[in-house]
Amino acid sequence: MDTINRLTKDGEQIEPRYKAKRGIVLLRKEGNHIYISGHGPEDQVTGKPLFAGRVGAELTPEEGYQAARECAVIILGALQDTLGSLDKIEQFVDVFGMVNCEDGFYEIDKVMDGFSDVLTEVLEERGYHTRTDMGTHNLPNNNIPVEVKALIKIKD
Amino acid sequence: MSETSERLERLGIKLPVRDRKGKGVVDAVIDGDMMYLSLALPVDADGNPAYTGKVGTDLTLEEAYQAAKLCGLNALTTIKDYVGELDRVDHVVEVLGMVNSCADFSSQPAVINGFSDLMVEVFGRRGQHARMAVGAYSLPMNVPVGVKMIVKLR
Repeated sequence: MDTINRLTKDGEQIEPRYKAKRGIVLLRKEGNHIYISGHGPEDQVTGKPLFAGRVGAELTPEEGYQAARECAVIILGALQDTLGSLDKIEQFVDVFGMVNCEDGFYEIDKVMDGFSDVLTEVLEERGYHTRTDMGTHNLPNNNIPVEVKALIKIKD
Repeated sequence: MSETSERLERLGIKLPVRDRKGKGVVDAVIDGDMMYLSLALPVDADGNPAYTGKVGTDLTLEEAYQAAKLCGLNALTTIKDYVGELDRVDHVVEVLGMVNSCADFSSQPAVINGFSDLMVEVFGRRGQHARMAVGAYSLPMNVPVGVKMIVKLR
């Protein structure tokens, strides 16, 4: 497995079954940048969704916010696994978030704040980023409520 | 309780509570000579939406074109705020335009032309860019258009 995409648990390298297919990698390093694939609130080994449904229908905005927080925790976990330490992150640069919305729900930014809040709580100024929020009506894996991709800069 | 907190309490001073949510989102990040912008929306100077609703039902194509142009003006303001002078823009690199549109609307590119035309008017050839125009099911504050852009600085 590509070293940047390894996943460790209790010090052992484990093979993520989820997304291990078709040339998709969760993290792609390019020079001092890492392009992070779309991550949903899903168990990173089994792929089981931790939240499912549209915000404004099956899920409340608060649950959507929590699901977005979960996406950030998962991405930071993957980066910690890969980089050894989150100190190696120089800056979160750009974030693109998709929120699975029921008709008439448009507080997408409030949902995505869950993602941004985790970044600033953990990384402080290094977590400041630009963000694009988009409402969609369908997302993969049993209709997860949020999916987030990101671009970060790492130290030499 | 900390010493200062105790003193505040003794003095009967209650600090206002502020909402810190989403405070990590900034309008632009400059990464080397690349500048990433957050989604530009068709909002007025106070941040209130100048247009709302779905294109095709609540708004016409022409109104949406104007909304996309306003996104462009707001994006240019952000660039100017951060780098001082628009001459610093070497060229516009990439644009993602999202149109909050009804089910059978498929003229998203014609809407986002409002943004692209402005960039070429302002920057000439330097304003030309790669672009993707998509239909969104929903956008923040129910605005009809949102545009994200990446520019290269010089």
